Amino acid sequence: MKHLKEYEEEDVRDLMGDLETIGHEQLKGWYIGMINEEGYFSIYAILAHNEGEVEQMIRKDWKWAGKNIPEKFGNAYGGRNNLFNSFLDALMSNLMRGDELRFYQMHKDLIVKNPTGKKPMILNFPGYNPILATEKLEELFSNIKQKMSEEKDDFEEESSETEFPDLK
Amino acid sequence: MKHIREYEEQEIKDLMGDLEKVGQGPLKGWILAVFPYDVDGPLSGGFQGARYYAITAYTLQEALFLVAEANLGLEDEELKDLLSDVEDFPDLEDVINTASDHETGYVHLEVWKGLIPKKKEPQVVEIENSNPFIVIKDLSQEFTNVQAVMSANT
Repeated sequence: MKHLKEYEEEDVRDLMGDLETIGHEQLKGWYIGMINEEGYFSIYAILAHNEGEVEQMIRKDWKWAGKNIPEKFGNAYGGRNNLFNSFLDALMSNLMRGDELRFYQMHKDLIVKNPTGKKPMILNFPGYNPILATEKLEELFSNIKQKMSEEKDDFEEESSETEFPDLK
Repeated sequence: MKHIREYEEQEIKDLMGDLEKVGQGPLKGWILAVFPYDVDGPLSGGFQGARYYAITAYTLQEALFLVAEANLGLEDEELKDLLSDVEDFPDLEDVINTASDHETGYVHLEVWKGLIPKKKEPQVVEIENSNPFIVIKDLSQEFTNVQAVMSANT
């Protein structure tokens, strides 16, 4: 067997994908930038193995989100008038429609730098100083600059809003 | 009159000080971060993210005037009256909100001073973006020392 350093980058990614299928998930990252009703701009940098872990941390720590935390219906999550198959998409939609937020931007699939030894966590810091914000983000994630330089409306393009049959 | 090279350094500094007093000093730069919003709610339309003003001006009063003008669209004399008691950027919040009858919210977030402008004329550039990577790129088009100033001002 070759040493890991001798594999091509794509082979390494394939290996990481295979490790995930047998329960050895790597830490992944999410970025959420949000502006609330009072104009306060917060950035949340989330590290977790999967969205299930993100959901656990948010249900435990985000008391301020209150009734906007989505209910679960089978494998789906309740929005105000619809269902989502992603907890985060449902949550952000609820927060916007509930007037808790004026604006948000979310990026998924961020690669965590030096994940060994790191634990799932949610880091929060002010967003209105872009220099300090980007320094912190680049310490955490190796592909954040590339992802965020491809400017797009993530909450529209990556939303997992789905038509589900009436569950009643 | 002597050639400028013949003056002593202290005389040059004094001359620059005098020029600033009559509004002819070097151009200065400020970055102002605000949150503007439509009071009817986020679904009423219009950009709802953070806005940055990259301001190039000779004096603070000129900088305040440029931002007020960008927000209110009033005649110069009306703006001068409104700004007569305004001493710094945080004071603009009340002035702009009141002058617009609170139809548009304006929340002062932060101001950075000591920027070195790339532009050669007084102006204000509005950057509407909450993506910090894009904001840095756009601000760096206006000033040479964005990184140093915004890293220092915590």
